[in-house]
Amino acid sequence: MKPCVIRCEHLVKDYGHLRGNFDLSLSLLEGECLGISGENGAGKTTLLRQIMGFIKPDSGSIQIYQYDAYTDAAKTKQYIGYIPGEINFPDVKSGTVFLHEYGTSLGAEEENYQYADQIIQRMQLDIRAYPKRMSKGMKQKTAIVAALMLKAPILIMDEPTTGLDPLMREEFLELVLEQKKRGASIIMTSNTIEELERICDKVALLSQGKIVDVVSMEDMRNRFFRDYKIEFIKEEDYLSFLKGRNDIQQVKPELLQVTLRVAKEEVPMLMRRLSLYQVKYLSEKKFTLSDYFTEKRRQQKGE
Amino acid sequence: MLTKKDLLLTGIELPKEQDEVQMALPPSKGVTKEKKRKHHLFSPAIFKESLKSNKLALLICSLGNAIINIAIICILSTLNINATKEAMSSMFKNADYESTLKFSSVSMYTCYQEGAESYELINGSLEKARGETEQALSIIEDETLTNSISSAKKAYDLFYTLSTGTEEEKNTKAKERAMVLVNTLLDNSDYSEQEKQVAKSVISYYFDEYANDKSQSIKEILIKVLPLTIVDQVKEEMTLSKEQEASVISTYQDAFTKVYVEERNLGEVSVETSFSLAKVLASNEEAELLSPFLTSLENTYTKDKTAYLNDPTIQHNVIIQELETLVIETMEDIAYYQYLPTFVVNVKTSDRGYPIHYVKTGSYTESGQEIMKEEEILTYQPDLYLAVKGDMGTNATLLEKMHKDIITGVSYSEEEIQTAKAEAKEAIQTLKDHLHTFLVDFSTRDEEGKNSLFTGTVVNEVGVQQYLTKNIQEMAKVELVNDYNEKHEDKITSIEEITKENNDYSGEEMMNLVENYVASGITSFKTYQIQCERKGYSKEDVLLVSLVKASQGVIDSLPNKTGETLSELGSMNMYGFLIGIIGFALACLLVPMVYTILLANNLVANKVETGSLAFTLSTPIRRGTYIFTEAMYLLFTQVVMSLSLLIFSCLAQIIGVALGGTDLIVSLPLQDIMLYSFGNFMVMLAISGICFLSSCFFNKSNLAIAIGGGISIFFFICSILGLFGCQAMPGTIRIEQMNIFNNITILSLFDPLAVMNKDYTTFFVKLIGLLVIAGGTYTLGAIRFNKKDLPL
Repeated sequence: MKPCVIRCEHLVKDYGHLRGNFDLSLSLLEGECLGISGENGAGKTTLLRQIMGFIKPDSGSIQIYQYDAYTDAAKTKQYIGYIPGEINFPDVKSGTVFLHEYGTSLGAEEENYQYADQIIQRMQLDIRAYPKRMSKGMKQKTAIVAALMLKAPILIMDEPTTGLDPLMREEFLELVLEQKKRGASIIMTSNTIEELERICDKVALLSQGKIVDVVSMEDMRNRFFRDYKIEFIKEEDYLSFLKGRNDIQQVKPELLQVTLRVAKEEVPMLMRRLSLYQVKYLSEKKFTLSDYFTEKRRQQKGE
Repeated sequence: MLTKKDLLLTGIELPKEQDEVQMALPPSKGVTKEKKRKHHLFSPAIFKESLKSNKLALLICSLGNAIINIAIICILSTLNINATKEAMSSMFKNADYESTLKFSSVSMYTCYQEGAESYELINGSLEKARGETEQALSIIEDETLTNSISSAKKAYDLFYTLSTGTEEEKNTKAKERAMVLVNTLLDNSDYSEQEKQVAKSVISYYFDEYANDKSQSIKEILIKVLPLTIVDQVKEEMTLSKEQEASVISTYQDAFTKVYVEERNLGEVSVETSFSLAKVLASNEEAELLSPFLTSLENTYTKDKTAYLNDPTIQHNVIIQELETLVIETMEDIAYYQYLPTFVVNVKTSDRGYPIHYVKTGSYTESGQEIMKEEEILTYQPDLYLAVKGDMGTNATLLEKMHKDIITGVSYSEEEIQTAKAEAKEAIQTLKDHLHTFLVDFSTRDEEGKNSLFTGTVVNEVGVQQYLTKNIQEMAKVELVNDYNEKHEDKITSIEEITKENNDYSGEEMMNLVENYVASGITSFKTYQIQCERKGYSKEDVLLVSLVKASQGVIDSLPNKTGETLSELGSMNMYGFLIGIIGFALACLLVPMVYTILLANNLVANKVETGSLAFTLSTPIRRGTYIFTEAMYLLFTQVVMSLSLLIFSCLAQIIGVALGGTDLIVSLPLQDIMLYSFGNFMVMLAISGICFLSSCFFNKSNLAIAIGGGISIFFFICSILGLFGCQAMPGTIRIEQMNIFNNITILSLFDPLAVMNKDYTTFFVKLIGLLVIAGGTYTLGAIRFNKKDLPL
């Protein structure tokens, strides 16, 4: 088993009106990438602020390695690269100066600056601008460079992709995957579940300050059933196919379409069966995290 | 659908064994060289960053602030405020001189005048009595009269024998007829009209006495009847009571007997008789006044009769000596009141210094209003007193001091009176010396019995005034020369050496001024005397009221408040006021205050609000280190601004002095500037503390500025308003009630007035208050920042 890098136990931070975190427990293992999703005001940022030691939990504790996140906040910082949710830079002349000073204060070496240059090039960032005049995207990019350049063992990123154009978002996700490969443990929040899907090992869903569910992406990929959508040419084929099946999800008789959920091991059987009919098209419907969460919510409501 | 592992992560159940998986710490950020970071309280990097971000603003504020003070000092250096101040204070010195001069001249004038008149009264009447007595006593030997009488006697005898009837009828008829004859006889004589009357009267009395006893000789009868004629004459000049009449008659009869029976020296008898007559004729009041004179004169006379008769100066000297004693005694009775401690009279008083109230007279004016009459209250009855309006109380005058027990209910203590008397004694001694010289000069006459002070019949008032003016001028000269020497550290000996070049007034001008004061004092004294006499005051009251009123200078007669205000203006430290109170304690606080309000906000609250602090705190810097460094930076800016203020103010002073603002050396020494600067720094320390606390307390910039800045500006405004109640404010525009603002602003803990008054203990003790505020707010702010949740 991999060692635990960050462990939150029974965190409570009550801001009233169901805002905050309520009895939240969570852990981040070494080299793992944890995604956190949830609606606005679900408590994502509050959780990250507590991990950063900016906020003191009402009760419960956060341990980063053997340090307490609040009382030893300064010590934990040497292991953490942080991208804040809302980015504003100190009053310096240019992004270059900012990065240099920020790096210096953390003991960055030549190697780090070279790495920073690489990232800057990849993100197509004009770093010379005056930080206060930077656009949202530029600020975001600069913050990303600052957080990644030091190759910190832990990365904590609060909605790092906001303000990035789709191309840059891809580049960023690439970068994060590289960090992951390097062995960094990552926590990142996002409202775009697709992003999390691509890079995270597991994703936690927060709602009203509580963890509703945690999904392991590995499990997601290795699900034991598949959904297929099939359209037939002839009506008699359609009707005979449907006869006796108990795995039908959805039917559209006017289009002669049917959606099925088939167990993994039964897929060859289905294929063999279909070869008997004239099939207009067959597609596997991808099961996404958002489908999962939608389903989850539907289930919860049903219960 | 969830695996077991997923379940673990939801935190529903955490396996205990995982706690034991202790991982080795990975290399920290910055990869290779792992610096052993000690947790210092101070971070030079943060300090440098703060400095970089507003060094220009700091520079501008420091210089801008200093420029305010430089401007004030430069303006002051070109002015010559001290000259104005000197003019004011010389005006007050003049006012002081004025009332002293007036009081001295009026009291001396009173003494001279009273002395001269008393002298003239006593000496004159004695001399007159002596002369008249001598004359009267010699009538007996007047041949014309004796011849007339012997002729008349013969006629009377003849008519008597011719008459018939009773003895009485015969006498009456004889007298009637003889008188007709005598009248005719006398009318044709060479006697003057008055002498004729006297002679007729003498003969008439003679016949009366002769009728009683015809065996008496002419001389014997004349001794008896001449006094009657004299009494008649005296009666023409003054009214006599029966007893006085009898006394006069017997006195003269004695005198005649002494001269013509006992055959004593006529001169001697005249003197003795004049003494007796003076006693007899004096009214009760006069007798009291006269008796010591007469006693002394009689004693002197008894000791050496011949000398007394031959040398008139002996009598003069005795009278002068007695007069001096008398006048001085009178002066002693009142002069010490002048030296008693004063008190403020807050009730209306009459001229005579008694509290007054108004009483109904019962009569009405035409418009139907009842006429009220002012009435003096002669005992302590505070319920009846009429208070003067507001602060219009005046310092007690001599007369009010006399009635202190009535006005305030408390009299002067015995100790106070003794001290005052001792002080008065010296002044009276001078007066006595002058009075002596004056009386000697007054009594020295030429052959016609005249001199510059005496016209021969009455005292020459103009002469006395001139004489007095000369006296006062002599005294003033000494004083003025002494004053001049003291002020200029010179050693001049005569008033002529003071000229326009070395003084505001030349010696001559000052002498003229003295003359004017004396003249105006005496003139008003005389006017007041007439006014008081019209009011029917007693002689003593007339003297006192006029003396007090005439010696009041312009400033004395103002209500205390106004007088104080004027004297304050004269003594005001304009430099301390403008530099210390307006400059350092107000004007030079505003720029640093605004700068500090904004800076304190920028250092903490703004960084929290925008989130830029996130980057700083995502480096291994403790919050404590961060906030301590920022506090240090805030302090540093205060030091920089104060130092710049201090240095430039000092430079401005030095340059101002070099450019000729020599007043600055005394009125605004560098030491004072340093103290003011230090006070200014302490205020800014406290203000920066308040702003810092506010900035640490709130996460929102606008709140931090509103509260921290609001409080600071509130204090500042209170300080401006409090200025109007400040003791340093000239009384004319000072409103005591406004001082309440000074009690609610911490800015008043910097007290430039204490520096101006050289009360350094108060100054520093108050500053400790500011230090406590600064220490408290900085500490609280740091603690709050360390503990609070940061929304980063």
